[in-house]
Amino acid sequence: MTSSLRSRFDFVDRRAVYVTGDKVAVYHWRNGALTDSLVFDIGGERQSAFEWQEQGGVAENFTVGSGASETALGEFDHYLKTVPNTPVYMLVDVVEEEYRQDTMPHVIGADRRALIERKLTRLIRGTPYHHAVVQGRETEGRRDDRVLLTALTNPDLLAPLIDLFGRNKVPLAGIYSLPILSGQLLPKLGAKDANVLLVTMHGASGLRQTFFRDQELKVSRLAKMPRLGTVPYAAHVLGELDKVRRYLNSLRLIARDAPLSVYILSSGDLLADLKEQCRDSDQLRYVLTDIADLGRRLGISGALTTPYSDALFAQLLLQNRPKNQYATRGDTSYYGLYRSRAALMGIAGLMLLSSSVWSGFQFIEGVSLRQQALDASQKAKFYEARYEIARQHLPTTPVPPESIARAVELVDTFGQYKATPLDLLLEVSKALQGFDTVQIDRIDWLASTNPEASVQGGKDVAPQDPGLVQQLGNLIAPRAQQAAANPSPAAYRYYHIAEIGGRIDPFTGDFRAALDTVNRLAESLRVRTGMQQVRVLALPLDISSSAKLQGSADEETKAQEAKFSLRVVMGVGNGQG
Amino acid sequence: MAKAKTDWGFLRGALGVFAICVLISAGLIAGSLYFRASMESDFKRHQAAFQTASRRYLSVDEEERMIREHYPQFVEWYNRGVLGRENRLNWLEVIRYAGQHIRMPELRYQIESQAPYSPPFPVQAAGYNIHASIMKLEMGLLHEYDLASMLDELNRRAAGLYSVDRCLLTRTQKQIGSDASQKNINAACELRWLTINTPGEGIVLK
Repeated sequence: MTSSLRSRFDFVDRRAVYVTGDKVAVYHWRNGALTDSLVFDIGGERQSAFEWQEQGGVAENFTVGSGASETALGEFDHYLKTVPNTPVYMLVDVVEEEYRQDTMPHVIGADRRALIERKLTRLIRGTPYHHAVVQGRETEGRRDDRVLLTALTNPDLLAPLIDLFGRNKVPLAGIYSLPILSGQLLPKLGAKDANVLLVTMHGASGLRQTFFRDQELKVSRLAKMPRLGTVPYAAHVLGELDKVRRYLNSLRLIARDAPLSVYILSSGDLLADLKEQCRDSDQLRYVLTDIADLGRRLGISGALTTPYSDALFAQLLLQNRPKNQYATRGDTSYYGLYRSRAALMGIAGLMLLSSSVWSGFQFIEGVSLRQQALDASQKAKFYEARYEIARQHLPTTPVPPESIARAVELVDTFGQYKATPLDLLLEVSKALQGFDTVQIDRIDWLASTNPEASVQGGKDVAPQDPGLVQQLGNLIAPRAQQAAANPSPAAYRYYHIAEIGGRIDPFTGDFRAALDTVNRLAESLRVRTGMQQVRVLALPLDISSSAKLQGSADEETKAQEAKFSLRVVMGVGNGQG
Repeated sequence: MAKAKTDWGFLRGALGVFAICVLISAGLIAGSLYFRASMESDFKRHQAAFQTASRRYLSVDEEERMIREHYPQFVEWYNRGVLGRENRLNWLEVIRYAGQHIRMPELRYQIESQAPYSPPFPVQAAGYNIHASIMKLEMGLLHEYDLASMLDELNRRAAGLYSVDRCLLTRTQKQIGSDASQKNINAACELRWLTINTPGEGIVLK
């Protein structure tokens, strides 16, 4: 089910290149399944490695070139140039593969990688194709890690192919060991025994016998097989099994009397022959599996009709795409570029899709807004028409009606602040009644919203000098003193402010009487309506301590003048003026 | 095997496609944003027009009330020269008339050019322009009531609204004389004539 789901959404085409000592087989994976294959026989003619039934028909093999004069590598080069440049997963099934069991201290991370690298450098020389698998830990001692070190000891075997891949910019995803990959078959076969020998036949290489202990690969052996049908295959296979059993015993990988489960994959007549000839014993237990059945379980769509397991491993490799085992970074450089290219294309597609969707929403919103705008426009026209109809019986005005009211209010406001000196003159005139000896010579008047404004146009008037008030003593009424020292807070719309200059005439020389007259005049002004402030600016005689005072006691006092000046502030408006 | 040199040409096609997709995406986004912004602007404009029209329609009764209550006063202020343009010729005629009528011994005037005016108290200009012209009057008065008469004549006859900013009254001689041709008091006053008008063509009543 999982496999089916995965293949349903697997649209990345790829290839498995199955490499043996003298053959190169290519398996194509399209739309989530194996489709066709072809074999390049080094030094010989190309032929199909196998054929399997697919939906009642025979899958078409790829054909390249023509004529037997082309070498296999040349044909392979031509093939690489001709077909789509999909990623390649190279599966190596050769005799020249070495397996070493070793242990190393249990470390993790970069230390483990460094330790493995040192072991590979020390134990495996002359090949860049090596791999290490940590298979568990020792049960005793310091519980070291158990490591399987593997290597392809004949790198020259792969060099021409790697060179061809590089020249044709083929994205090589990795180089894989068939014995290591075969471990993935054990769960499918239900092989849970302690000692398992997996026996598979390969059209391209021969008889592969791989030994697992506790599901961990220990060693593998590849034996040449005669051409199918030339010898009794079952007897030959069993003969090879005797050899590998002795080999395992010699390596002490298995005790002589320990049970060994032998899983043999085959099909057709050979499977039947094997079933006849395989006899279980205390040391041997045979499990024979039909390749066609296993192929179906692995998800291969066509029927496998040969006893060879090549397609099974191609399926395993292309379906699971395990992590690279042998390939160097240089070998997979084009695969890195391929992935970068795929990522770029993916991002570009995603960006295009996202921007299209986002733009689509924006466009839809825009269309919706346009429709709303049309609706609003129609409603505006409707109301404008209704307004014009309703407005017909109203007089035409030079400004909108609300502006008419504003203008009238504005004029009213200015009218409230309209000032003339007549109000103050009237109050002064009333205050002067009864003061026959007081003559007014000058009135300097202004209207201001600031009660402290100066009528001279200079700085605003400062509070009266307290020294002058003190010096006047009882000549100035206490109320006037208080008013002078503490002017009332502004409570009026605006103020009449005036400086009144006058004199006592006739003046008999009696300064005390003159001062008293001025004092009384100030009091008379203060009680007038709206009078905010009355301040004595100058007295007929400056008797303050800070002033210089001089004269002659016998001089004619009549010739002297008794001038004075007052500052008067009268508020207007706010219901109080 | 020597390490293969990275072949960046391998990515050329993908980079080209990527660049084209970036351009197309940017174009799509910019175009759709522009389209949406344009439509939104149109919508807001039409919506505002609709709201204005509906508000005006709903306020017809209020407008009728405003016209009924305020328009007569508005027309009166217009006719009196407070709204609209100032009428300087009228001012001069009134001053001359007042001077002769009051028999003022001495009368000189000076009107400065009109200028925008910001009053020292808060007002709601409501889109109107406020201008003021300063008129300086120098008067020789027989007595202080001549000043009251002059201002009264201006109130009754002059087209416009004025306010006296400042006034300086000074006695010309120690004793008040009774000769009507001789001045007893000098008065120098500054009057601010206010005019309220709309921008542009101004208020014009037909």
